[in-house]
Amino acid sequence: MKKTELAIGDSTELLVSYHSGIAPGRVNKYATISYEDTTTHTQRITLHAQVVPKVDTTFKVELSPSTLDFSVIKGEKPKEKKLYLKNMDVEKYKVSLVDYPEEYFKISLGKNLKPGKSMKVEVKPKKNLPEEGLKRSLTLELEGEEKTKITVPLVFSSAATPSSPKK
Amino acid sequence: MGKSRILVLSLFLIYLLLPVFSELKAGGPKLEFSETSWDWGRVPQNSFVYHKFWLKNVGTDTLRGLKVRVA
Repeated sequence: MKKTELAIGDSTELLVSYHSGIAPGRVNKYATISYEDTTTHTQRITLHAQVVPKVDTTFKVELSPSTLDFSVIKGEKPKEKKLYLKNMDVEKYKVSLVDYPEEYFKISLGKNLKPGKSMKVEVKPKKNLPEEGLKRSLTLELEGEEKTKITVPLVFSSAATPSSPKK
Repeated sequence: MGKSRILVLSLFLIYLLLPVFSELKAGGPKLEFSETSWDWGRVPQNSFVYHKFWLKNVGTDTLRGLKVRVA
Protein backbone atom coordinates (compact mmCIF):
# COMPACT_ATOMS: atom_id res chain seq x y z
CA MET A 1 0.00 0.00 0.00
CA LYS A 2 1.41 3.37 -1.01
CA LYS A 3 -0.23 5.55 1.69
CA THR A 4 -1.11 5.14 5.34
CA GLU A 5 -3.05 8.40 5.53
CA LEU A 6 -5.88 9.48 3.24
CA ALA A 7 -7.32 12.99 3.10
CA ILE A 8 -11.07 13.36 2.48
CA GLY A 9 -11.81 12.02 -1.02
CA ASP A 10 -8.24 10.72 -1.46
CA SER A 11 -7.54 7.16 -2.64
CA THR A 12 -4.66 4.68 -2.67
CA GLU A 13 -3.90 1.39 -4.33
CA LEU A 14 -3.48 -1.86 -2.46
CA LEU A 15 -1.50 -4.45 -4.40
CA VAL A 16 -2.23 -7.92 -3.01
CA SER A 17 0.16 -10.76 -3.83
CA TYR A 18 -0.45 -14.45 -3.25
CA HIS A 19 2.00 -17.36 -3.50
CA SER A 20 0.21 -20.51 -4.61
CA GLY A 21 2.53 -23.01 -2.87
CA ILE A 22 2.72 -26.62 -3.99
CA ALA A 23 -0.50 -28.21 -2.78
CA PRO A 24 -3.24 -28.22 -5.42
CA GLY A 25 -6.79 -27.30 -4.36
CA ARG A 26 -9.12 -24.46 -3.53
CA VAL A 27 -7.65 -21.72 -1.32
CA ASN A 28 -9.45 -18.89 0.48
CA LYS A 29 -7.51 -16.03 2.08
CA TYR A 30 -8.48 -12.83 3.86
CA ALA A 31 -6.86 -9.41 4.01
CA THR A 32 -7.86 -7.26 6.94
CA ILE A 33 -7.58 -3.52 6.44
CA SER A 34 -7.64 -1.36 9.53
CA TYR A 35 -7.47 2.33 10.35
CA GLU A 36 -7.60 4.45 13.47
CA ASP A 37 -10.36 6.86 14.42
CA THR A 38 -11.69 7.16 17.95
CA THR A 39 -11.59 3.36 17.76
CA THR A 40 -9.86 0.90 15.40
CA HIS A 41 -12.01 0.13 12.36
CA THR A 42 -11.46 -3.09 10.43
CA GLN A 43 -12.79 -4.22 7.07
CA ARG A 44 -12.08 -7.44 5.22
CA ILE A 45 -11.50 -8.43 1.62
CA THR A 46 -11.63 -12.07 0.53
CA LEU A 47 -9.27 -13.73 -1.95
CA HIS A 48 -9.80 -17.04 -3.73
CA ALA A 49 -7.66 -19.29 -5.94
CA GLN A 50 -7.73 -22.80 -7.35
CA VAL A 51 -4.14 -24.07 -7.28
CA VAL A 52 -3.45 -26.39 -10.23
CA PRO A 53 -0.37 -28.25 -11.53
CA LYS A 54 1.93 -26.25 -13.84
CA VAL A 55 0.92 -28.55 -16.67
CA ASP A 56 -2.82 -28.54 -16.07
CA THR A 57 -4.65 -31.38 -17.80
CA THR A 58 -7.72 -31.14 -15.58
CA PHE A 59 -9.23 -28.27 -17.59
CA LYS A 60 -10.34 -28.60 -21.18
CA VAL A 61 -8.50 -25.53 -22.36
CA GLU A 62 -4.74 -26.08 -22.35
CA LEU A 63 -2.59 -23.09 -21.69
CA SER A 64 1.12 -22.70 -22.32
CA PRO A 65 3.44 -21.54 -21.00
CA SER A 66 2.15 -21.38 -17.43
CA THR A 67 4.30 -18.28 -16.73
CA LEU A 68 5.47 -15.51 -19.06
CA ASP A 69 9.07 -14.52 -18.36
CA PHE A 70 10.26 -11.26 -19.97
CA SER A 71 13.70 -11.29 -18.33
CA VAL A 72 16.62 -9.89 -20.31
CA ILE A 73 20.34 -9.18 -19.98
CA LYS A 74 20.84 -5.61 -18.71
CA GLY A 75 20.62 -3.12 -21.58
CA GLU A 76 18.47 -5.34 -23.79
CA LYS A 77 14.85 -4.54 -24.50
CA PRO A 78 12.27 -7.08 -23.25
CA LYS A 79 10.40 -8.71 -26.12
CA GLU A 80 6.78 -9.52 -26.72
CA LYS A 81 5.69 -12.97 -25.50
CA LYS A 82 2.82 -15.15 -26.59
CA LEU A 83 0.49 -17.27 -24.55
CA TYR A 84 -1.30 -20.12 -26.33
CA LEU A 85 -4.74 -21.46 -25.46
CA LYS A 86 -5.93 -24.70 -27.04
CA ASN A 87 -9.55 -25.76 -26.75
CA MET A 88 -9.74 -29.54 -26.22
CA ASP A 89 -13.45 -29.31 -25.42
CA VAL A 90 -16.49 -29.75 -27.66
CA GLU A 91 -17.94 -26.40 -26.65
CA LYS A 92 -16.98 -22.89 -27.67
CA TYR A 93 -15.45 -20.49 -25.13
CA LYS A 94 -15.71 -16.71 -25.07
CA VAL A 95 -12.33 -15.34 -23.87
CA SER A 96 -11.86 -12.02 -22.12
CA LEU A 97 -9.10 -10.29 -20.22
CA VAL A 98 -10.38 -9.41 -16.75
CA ASP A 99 -7.23 -8.18 -15.00
CA TYR A 100 -3.70 -7.18 -16.04
CA PRO A 101 -1.11 -4.53 -15.15
CA GLU A 102 -2.00 -2.02 -17.86
CA GLU A 103 0.70 0.40 -16.72
CA TYR A 104 3.39 -2.12 -17.78
CA PHE A 105 1.92 -4.31 -20.55
CA LYS A 106 -0.22 -4.08 -23.67
CA ILE A 107 -2.26 -7.22 -24.36
CA SER A 108 -4.17 -8.31 -27.44
CA LEU A 109 -6.28 -11.44 -27.85
CA GLY A 110 -9.18 -12.87 -29.83
CA LYS A 111 -12.73 -13.19 -28.52
CA ASN A 112 -13.83 -16.74 -29.27
CA LEU A 113 -12.11 -20.08 -28.92
CA LYS A 114 -13.84 -22.72 -31.05
CA PRO A 115 -13.61 -26.46 -30.27
CA GLY A 116 -10.27 -27.95 -31.37
CA LYS A 117 -8.83 -24.51 -32.18
CA SER A 118 -6.01 -22.49 -30.64
CA MET A 119 -5.73 -18.83 -29.76
CA LYS A 120 -2.69 -16.72 -29.02
CA VAL A 121 -2.58 -13.93 -26.49
CA GLU A 122 0.11 -11.37 -27.28
CA VAL A 123 1.68 -9.67 -24.28
CA LYS A 124 3.85 -6.69 -25.15
CA PRO A 125 5.89 -4.96 -22.44
CA LYS A 126 5.81 -1.15 -22.37
CA LYS A 127 9.02 0.86 -22.10
CA ASN A 128 8.68 1.53 -18.38
CA LEU A 129 9.44 -1.92 -16.89
CA PRO A 130 11.42 -1.17 -13.71
CA GLU A 131 15.12 -2.10 -13.87
CA GLU A 132 14.98 -3.71 -10.42
CA GLY A 133 12.50 -6.28 -11.76
CA LEU A 134 8.78 -6.83 -11.68
CA LYS A 135 6.29 -9.55 -10.79
CA ARG A 136 2.64 -9.25 -11.77
CA SER A 137 -0.05 -11.46 -13.34
CA LEU A 138 -2.83 -11.40 -15.90
CA THR A 139 -6.22 -13.03 -15.50
CA LEU A 140 -8.35 -14.39 -18.34
CA GLU A 141 -11.97 -15.43 -18.12
CA LEU A 142 -13.24 -18.28 -20.29
CA GLU A 143 -16.98 -18.45 -20.65
CA GLY A 144 -18.49 -21.73 -21.83
CA GLU A 145 -21.36 -23.37 -19.99
CA GLU A 146 -19.58 -22.10 -16.90
CA LYS A 147 -17.19 -19.23 -16.33
CA THR A 148 -13.58 -20.16 -15.48
CA LYS A 149 -10.77 -17.77 -14.66
CA ILE A 150 -7.11 -18.53 -15.32
CA THR A 151 -4.24 -16.44 -13.95
CA VAL A 152 -0.81 -16.36 -15.56
CA PRO A 153 2.20 -14.93 -13.67
CA LEU A 154 4.27 -12.28 -15.49
CA VAL A 155 7.94 -12.03 -14.51
CA PHE A 156 10.62 -9.53 -15.51
CA SER A 157 14.22 -9.15 -14.36
CA SER A 158 17.21 -7.41 -15.84
CA ALA A 159 20.45 -9.24 -14.98
CA ALA A 160 23.93 -7.70 -15.47
CA THR A 161 25.31 -10.82 -17.15
CA PRO A 162 23.70 -13.95 -18.57
CA SER A 163 24.10 -17.07 -16.45
CA SER A 164 26.60 -19.27 -18.33
CA PRO A 165 27.53 -22.88 -17.61
CA LYS A 166 30.90 -23.48 -15.89
CA LYS A 167 33.70 -24.83 -18.10
CA MET B 1 -50.03 6.46 33.96
CA GLY B 2 -47.62 5.80 36.79
CA LYS B 3 -44.20 7.46 37.01
CA SER B 4 -42.48 4.11 36.61
CA ARG B 5 -44.36 3.39 33.38
CA ILE B 6 -43.32 6.79 31.95
CA LEU B 7 -39.72 6.08 32.90
CA VAL B 8 -39.79 2.64 31.23
CA LEU B 9 -41.39 4.12 28.09
CA SER B 10 -38.77 6.93 27.96
CA LEU B 11 -35.91 4.44 28.32
CA PHE B 12 -37.42 2.30 25.58
CA LEU B 13 -37.69 5.34 23.25
CA ILE B 14 -34.06 6.30 23.98
CA TYR B 15 -33.04 2.71 23.19
CA LEU B 16 -34.90 2.86 19.87
CA LEU B 17 -33.40 6.24 18.89
CA LEU B 18 -29.79 5.50 19.92
CA PRO B 19 -28.69 4.17 16.50
CA VAL B 20 -30.18 7.28 14.83
CA PHE B 21 -28.23 9.62 17.12
CA SER B 22 -24.96 7.70 16.74
CA GLU B 23 -25.39 7.73 12.94
CA LEU B 24 -25.89 11.51 12.96
CA LYS B 25 -22.85 11.95 15.18
CA ALA B 26 -20.73 9.38 13.27
CA GLY B 27 -18.91 11.45 10.61
CA GLY B 28 -15.17 10.82 10.63
CA PRO B 29 -13.16 8.83 8.07
CA LYS B 30 -14.80 6.04 6.10
CA LEU B 31 -13.08 3.54 3.84
CA GLU B 32 -14.60 2.36 0.55
CA PHE B 33 -13.14 -0.43 -1.61
CA SER B 34 -13.18 -0.86 -5.40
CA GLU B 35 -14.07 -4.53 -4.71
CA THR B 36 -14.43 -6.56 -1.54
CA SER B 37 -13.32 -9.87 -3.05
CA TRP B 38 -11.18 -11.23 -5.85
CA ASP B 39 -10.92 -14.68 -7.42
CA TRP B 40 -7.76 -15.50 -9.40
CA GLY B 41 -9.33 -18.71 -10.66
CA ARG B 42 -6.86 -21.39 -11.76
CA VAL B 43 -3.34 -20.53 -10.58
CA PRO B 44 -0.23 -22.64 -11.35
CA GLN B 45 1.58 -24.20 -8.38
CA ASN B 46 4.51 -22.36 -6.85
CA SER B 47 3.73 -19.01 -8.45
CA PHE B 48 3.07 -15.45 -7.35
CA VAL B 49 -0.11 -13.79 -8.57
CA TYR B 50 -1.31 -10.25 -7.97
CA HIS B 51 -4.39 -8.06 -7.87
CA LYS B 52 -4.79 -4.36 -7.28
CA PHE B 53 -7.60 -2.95 -5.14
CA TRP B 54 -8.41 0.75 -4.79
CA LEU B 55 -9.24 2.22 -1.38
CA LYS B 56 -10.93 5.62 -1.00
CA ASN B 57 -11.71 7.78 2.00
CA VAL B 58 -15.37 8.69 1.50
CA GLY B 59 -15.74 10.03 5.05
CA THR B 60 -15.69 13.54 6.47
CA ASP B 61 -12.27 13.49 8.15
CA THR B 62 -8.69 12.42 7.32
CA LEU B 63 -8.15 8.65 7.58
CA ARG B 64 -5.00 7.72 9.52
CA GLY B 65 -3.01 4.60 10.44
CA LEU B 66 -4.05 2.52 7.44
CA LYS B 67 -2.70 -1.05 7.80
CA VAL B 68 -3.15 -4.38 6.04
CA ARG B 69 -2.82 -7.88 7.43
CA VAL B 70 -3.24 -11.04 5.37
CA ALA B 71 -4.35 -14.34 6.88
